[in-house]
Amino acid sequence: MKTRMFKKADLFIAFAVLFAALCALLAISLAGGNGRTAVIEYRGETVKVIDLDSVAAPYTFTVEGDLEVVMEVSPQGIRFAYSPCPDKLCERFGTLGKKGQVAVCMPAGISVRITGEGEYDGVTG
Amino acid sequence: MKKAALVFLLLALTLAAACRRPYENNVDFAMGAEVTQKLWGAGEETAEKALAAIRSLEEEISYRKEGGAASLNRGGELTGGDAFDIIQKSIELWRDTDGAYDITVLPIVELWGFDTDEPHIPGEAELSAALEKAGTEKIICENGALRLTGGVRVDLSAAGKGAACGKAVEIYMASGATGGIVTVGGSVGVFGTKNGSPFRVAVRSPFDPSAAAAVLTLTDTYVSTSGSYEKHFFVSGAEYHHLLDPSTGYPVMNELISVTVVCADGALSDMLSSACFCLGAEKSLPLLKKYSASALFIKRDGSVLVTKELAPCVECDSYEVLP
Repeated sequence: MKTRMFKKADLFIAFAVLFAALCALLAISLAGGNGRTAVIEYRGETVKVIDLDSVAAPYTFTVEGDLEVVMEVSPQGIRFAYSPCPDKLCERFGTLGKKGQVAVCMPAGISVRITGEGEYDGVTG
Repeated sequence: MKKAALVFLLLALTLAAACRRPYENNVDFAMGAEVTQKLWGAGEETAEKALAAIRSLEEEISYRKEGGAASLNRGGELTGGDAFDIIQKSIELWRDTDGAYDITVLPIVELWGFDTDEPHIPGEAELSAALEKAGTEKIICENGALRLTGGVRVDLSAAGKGAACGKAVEIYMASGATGGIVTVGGSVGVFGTKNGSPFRVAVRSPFDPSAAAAVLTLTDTYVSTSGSYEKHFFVSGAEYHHLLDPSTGYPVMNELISVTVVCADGALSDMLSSACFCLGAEKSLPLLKKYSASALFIKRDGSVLVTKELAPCVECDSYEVLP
């Protein structure tokens, strides 16, 4: 009589373990985030640093430069929501959410850039 | 088949818990700084309680508010509470550092104007007069009560952010959370784990605020940093920063630009980072040992020194381990 190497139940368990491994990878990925940080600067001096991966809901804040601008932060990224500058070029940059992206409001002297040096949970200093 | 289904169910339940994202909040402000919280196994209610505890602490220890420290500065007495506890620790640290850590330098700090839009170098005469008004020896503790003499005033801000992290972590522990991380300005408190993994805390580079000079892998502890780059200005090319030497009234000038301290007590992590900055790396070692703390020092030339206890937790391009 021919015997089968695996029973149906064994295969089921193997698939369950595979599923578990995939879930674990997903969990680790979600917990770690993408390491995106928004750095807002006025004339080259950092005025605010925001961990974009920690943003749960959209909010706005103002930055005092040569003009006062309003920035909006959301889980997707950060954007110039309002500037009293004449050309509004900064508002046209839209939402920045990828590492390396930069937007500048020249009349206000304010810039924002997205960095990501690594994945960490908090920053001291 | 039934056994396999049971195994699958158990795995699914376990992973459903493991796959939960942490509760995150980073839009609050207290202690004059941004407060961020991430929680595993707890949520908004716990975070709100923690924030309330931080604000209550601020009320108690800020000389700008109406709590214990403010009352003491107005001539009252303190017999207990958070301000009392922090002042007691501060007096001990003042003795341990031969006066390098001093919570009574407020008149000198005000002269420099580091919290204003126009910080400036004070005149010699006014600096001498302000030094006369400082001195932890003017804090008297009699019959379990603290009071101030000689016109001295206390400023507990060098302990505040670390102490605030301690308050938040107390709430996390009581809530049944499995893990949590709170940052108040430059101080960080970590509790438990994030889904079984330790927390990774970046030490901000003094030379590029958007970069990490090092990363620390930690559980159940507190981290605070004092750096001369935080509040400073330049006159004729010379740098003047907010970490003042209580003996001279001028900024501490040594080889350091930043000190990060890891300690099991939140307030002490904050206080020690200031004290160690004033002392320098070598003189800090006995102090760190006394308080079972460890540290990472960044020098002005960019080199990094790490105490041997902390070395296993440090990721950094290159560093020297201190004995």
